[in-house]
Order: sequence, then C-alpha cells, then structure tokens
Amino acid sequence: MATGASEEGRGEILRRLGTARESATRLGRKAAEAEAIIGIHGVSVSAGFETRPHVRADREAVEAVFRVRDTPTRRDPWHRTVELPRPVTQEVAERFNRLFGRR
Amino acid sequence: MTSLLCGRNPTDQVGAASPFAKIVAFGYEDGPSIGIVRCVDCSEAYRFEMLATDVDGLYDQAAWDRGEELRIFALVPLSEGAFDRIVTLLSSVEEPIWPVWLPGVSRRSPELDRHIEADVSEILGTAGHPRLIVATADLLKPFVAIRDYPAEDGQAPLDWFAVLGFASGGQLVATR
Repeated sequence: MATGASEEGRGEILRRLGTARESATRLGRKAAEAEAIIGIHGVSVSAGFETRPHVRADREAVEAVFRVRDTPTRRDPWHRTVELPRPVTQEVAERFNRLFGRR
Repeated sequence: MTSLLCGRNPTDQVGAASPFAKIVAFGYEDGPSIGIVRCVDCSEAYRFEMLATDVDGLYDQAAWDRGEELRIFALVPLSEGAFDRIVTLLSSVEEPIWPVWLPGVSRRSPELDRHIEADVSEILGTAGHPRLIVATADLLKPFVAIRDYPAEDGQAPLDWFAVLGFASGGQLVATR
C-alpha cells in the first residue's frame, strides 16, 4: 500500500475522511466511541493511500498539538488515532479543523 | 425482498432494535468498517464490509454532526458456527472485549496475526456472496434501510446511497 510515511512516522501525511468542518459534538462522540473500542479517546486518520474525499495534515504538525497513536488494523496497517482531550471543547475542535485545513 | 435476516423479513427490522449483538472488527474508521457480526437471538452471523459512508453529512447533516453518520454495509452470511470458531481462535491469544472487539489494536501479536491470516481467512473464505445491504450509523443500532444486495454488472462502482433510495439534501429517509 502506498503511504505518506517515512521512518518511524516521521514525514507521515495523515488523512482524515471528509472535507467539511467537524463540530466539537461530532469529534467528542467519535472519540468516546473509539475509547470504548480502541481504548484511546480519539478519532481515526490514516497514513495510507486514500481515494475518497479527505483532508490531510503532516503528522508532525498534528503531534505539536495532539498525541498521535499508531493503531494499525488488519484492514489498514496505517491506521492512526489522533488523541483528543476530554471533553472535546469548541477550542479543541477549532484546532483540529485548522490542522487539517477544514474550511 | 427475498432474503431473510435472522429468520425475519429484513424490512420489518427497519427502525427496530438491531438484530446484532456482537462485532469482531478487522478494520476501524471512526467505527468498525469490516469484520463479522452475530445475531442476538439466533446463531446467524455475517461478514460485513462498509461500502460507503456519509462522510460529509450530505444525506443527513444533523446525524453527521452528532457523529451518527449514515454508513452502508454489505452482509455476507457465514456458515453455522463460524463466528464462534473465530472468537475461540482469537480469544486464545487476546481477551475479547464486547460488544465490539478489535483484535490486536492495542497490542500487536504475531500469533494473532497468524491466526487471522491462516485460520480466520480460511473460515471467512467459505462465506458466500453478499446477501443484503443495510444503512445504519452502527450495526448494533437500528437500521435505517435494508435491501437485497444488487446484482453487479461489472461496470462503474455502484452509488450505494442511490441503491438504497437516498438522495442528498438532509433527508434520512429511504424511498424503499
């Protein structure tokens, strides 16, 4: 699978599905669901190839604000989880959207 | 509709509690995207795969904004006992977490990988063709729409939302 990755995550490009701005409510709900299943309060991104509409950000830029955890799955070995603080406030959502260039 | 789901007419299950109780997921995109699912009341089980997701809230902006976006899944019947055999295999390596278990996500295990690559793949390989497609925010939550899996013509990818009768513009109501 083609990826935006280099060594040990450096130089990775993280991709998140969709292009629309995400609310704190949405991010908070997704983060809570992930916490129950993955054990991380966060949302899905991938460092792998993606053809569906998505936004992207440098992993290093994201990691300057949020912790990024490697959470590979059988389906997507490049699956990552961007850990979000609890609760996901409007300010957190703004930071997240800005990092991924969401309008 | 000709197919049954857990012995019942699938259309009777739209809006009702999900017939499913347990998921073993092998992919995750803000929710399980591929894996196996088991009925709550009977031994029926299915392999599922997410075909499409309302990624920007085109079909229901309010639901999307709540984080309950519409997702469309294909369901492929599994042979009798397949779900339980897979759980038994994988739980010898990792303790299951219910109702949704994503094996190996918190700690990679070569043994788990071997089981999945060999044994689980073999079991899933005995599954037939997709039988149903369902629209729901989550396979453990009520279904919004369901129908038989359409015959593919080998041409351009199907518009799965159109197949289920959805039109973009904020209506979470299927036309069939």
